[in-house]
Amino acid sequence: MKDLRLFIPVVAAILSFGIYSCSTSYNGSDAVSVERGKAVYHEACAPCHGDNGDGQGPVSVSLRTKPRDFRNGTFRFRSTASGQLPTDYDLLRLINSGIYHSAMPSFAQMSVADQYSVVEYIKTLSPLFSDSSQYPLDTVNITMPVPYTYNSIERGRVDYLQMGCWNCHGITGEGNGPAAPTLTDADGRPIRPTNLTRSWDVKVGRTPERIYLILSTGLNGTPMPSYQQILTDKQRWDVANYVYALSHNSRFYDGAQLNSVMKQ
Amino acid sequence: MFHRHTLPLLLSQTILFTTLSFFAGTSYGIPLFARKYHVSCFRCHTVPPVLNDFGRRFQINSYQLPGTDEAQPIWSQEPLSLSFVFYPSFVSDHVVTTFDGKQTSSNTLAFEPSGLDLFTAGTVAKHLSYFLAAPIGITGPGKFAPTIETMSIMFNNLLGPDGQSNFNFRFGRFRFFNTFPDNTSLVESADYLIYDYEPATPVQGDLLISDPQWAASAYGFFPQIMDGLRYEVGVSNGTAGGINLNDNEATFLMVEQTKYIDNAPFRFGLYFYGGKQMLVDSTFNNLSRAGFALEFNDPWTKHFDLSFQYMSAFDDNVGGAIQTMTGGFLGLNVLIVPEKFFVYGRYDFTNVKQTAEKQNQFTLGARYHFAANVGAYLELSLLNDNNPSNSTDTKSTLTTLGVLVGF
Repeated sequence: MKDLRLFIPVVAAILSFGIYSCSTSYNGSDAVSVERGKAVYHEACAPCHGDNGDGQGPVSVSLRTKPRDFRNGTFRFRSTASGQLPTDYDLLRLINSGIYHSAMPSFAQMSVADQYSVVEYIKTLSPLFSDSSQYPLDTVNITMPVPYTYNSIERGRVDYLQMGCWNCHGITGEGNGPAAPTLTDADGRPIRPTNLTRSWDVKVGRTPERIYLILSTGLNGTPMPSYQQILTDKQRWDVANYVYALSHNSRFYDGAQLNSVMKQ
Repeated sequence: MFHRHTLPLLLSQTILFTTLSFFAGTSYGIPLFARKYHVSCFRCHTVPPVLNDFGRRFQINSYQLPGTDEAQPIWSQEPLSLSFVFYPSFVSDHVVTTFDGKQTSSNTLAFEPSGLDLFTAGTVAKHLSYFLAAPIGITGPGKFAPTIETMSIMFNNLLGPDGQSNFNFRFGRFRFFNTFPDNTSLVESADYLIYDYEPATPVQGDLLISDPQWAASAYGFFPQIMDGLRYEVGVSNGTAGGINLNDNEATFLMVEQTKYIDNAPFRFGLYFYGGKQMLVDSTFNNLSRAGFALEFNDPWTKHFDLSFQYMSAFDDNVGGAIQTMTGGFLGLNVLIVPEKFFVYGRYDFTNVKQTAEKQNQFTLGARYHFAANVGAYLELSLLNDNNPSNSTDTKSTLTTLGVLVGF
């Protein structure tokens, strides 16, 4: 009997291989890629994002920040103009890098082919991706960065205050601005402005480049607007440098100077 | 039912709870896998240590993200996969024992020695990973001793392409995957009664279905079968290891099917654990444990998680005679505020046919998380053990206030 028991793992292996053989694998063509993406999505993404991409997978109920609803094509972190769909690369980057300290992990260890397949499949979940009127996408080019200097940070602080960023993110950047308690996302759910002074709390804007991108594109589906038409390219880099400095323990706020700064 | 000191005790514990909460709230840290993947603990836990559906897939993929097969070795990763968990608690235990009609009682008020759990896990190479849990426990006044609770080497994703976790193999000392493992219960102060059932006295090494044991097993996950089928088959040498398999061995089989009903998981599992063990009198006891498990998340509010497990136990040599036991538990976890506040309860029962011994245990608790890795809980557990064969009836009322800090 004992000897037979030792064969059980072998039998399990044979059965596993049989079932595996019935599954699909990526061979490069679009249809197969979508099919493969569906299988990977079902295994890795569906517990949160739901089988149909509605963001209401079984895990979602226990998360404070709800998973993305892929059906409406609203994506926060993009490189495209406000209100537009993301590029394939935007989606791929989110899968690859995850969203820091949220429930969205980095799937960098997933094979590149599978990551691309998941992107292809996610695009089938919203009709907007196949709507020709959504294209071409207007992508934001990351220009030559303004050097991360004290002067740039100082200028960024002025713009931060003058643009009213403090209204949500707070004068000190701690996410406690007067409007913070009233903010909601596009689905009407309460949303918390990022505390910019805690690097471990910053989810995506963890480099000046990513902050610049967020300032340029805004975050679709949230109260965070795009400043591409409001601030010059240089100003957005200055604010990005300032926000980056805030999250790295550089404190600049001087309450006595606020009024004078606001008048500039 | 309540002892006269219970109310002042609860009052003092509430004050202690509040005080601990204040200090706990200032602490930040991230336990092992959350730190490794830069995600919140609630990525895998509805409430630690209860695994959500993603956590179950992570676990069965050899502690790697579903759909992935990691290759980056642990020594090249930042930060290092190492974490600690503290879990000090304060207990009030009131026990009333009736023996041959004579009643005695005892009261215990104590800070429970908790020790420190150390965890590390990670990838060594592609298809090869490990998991190690080493609690440093208190063995006496001022004495601490480290022990190896689980230590396993896992060969993962052996048959499929990247991320196909349908066949994995592990060996070492580990807990078999069960639908409701002992270490993922939200109830901290009371064990599952059915898992502790061991009527015969082995020479060394226990054959307990839910304890970490020296074993080898094959396990895996098929996401394409409804919403996921998990399985494990293994051979165990018992908790002590190093014993001839002819003297101490068991086989474990488990299959568990999940189906989402309106995005609420419904789970059904079957399991078997059986083998033989040498007893102190050099005779053998052939034993088997078999049963089924059910989990039902309510599909309407999705805040109620109901669990049920039934087990039938058979031993053919308990003092030279056959002994059978049936038992199980019914549990309910209620999510009040996501990632913050939970209440829960569990009813355990066992019934030994030959001795007519009956155990009933009811536990009620509440858990609050100040941060993902910092929680405090208050539990009340009532146990009634009635054993007519030796004319003993024991009732205990256990109140526990505990804090859990992981970093």
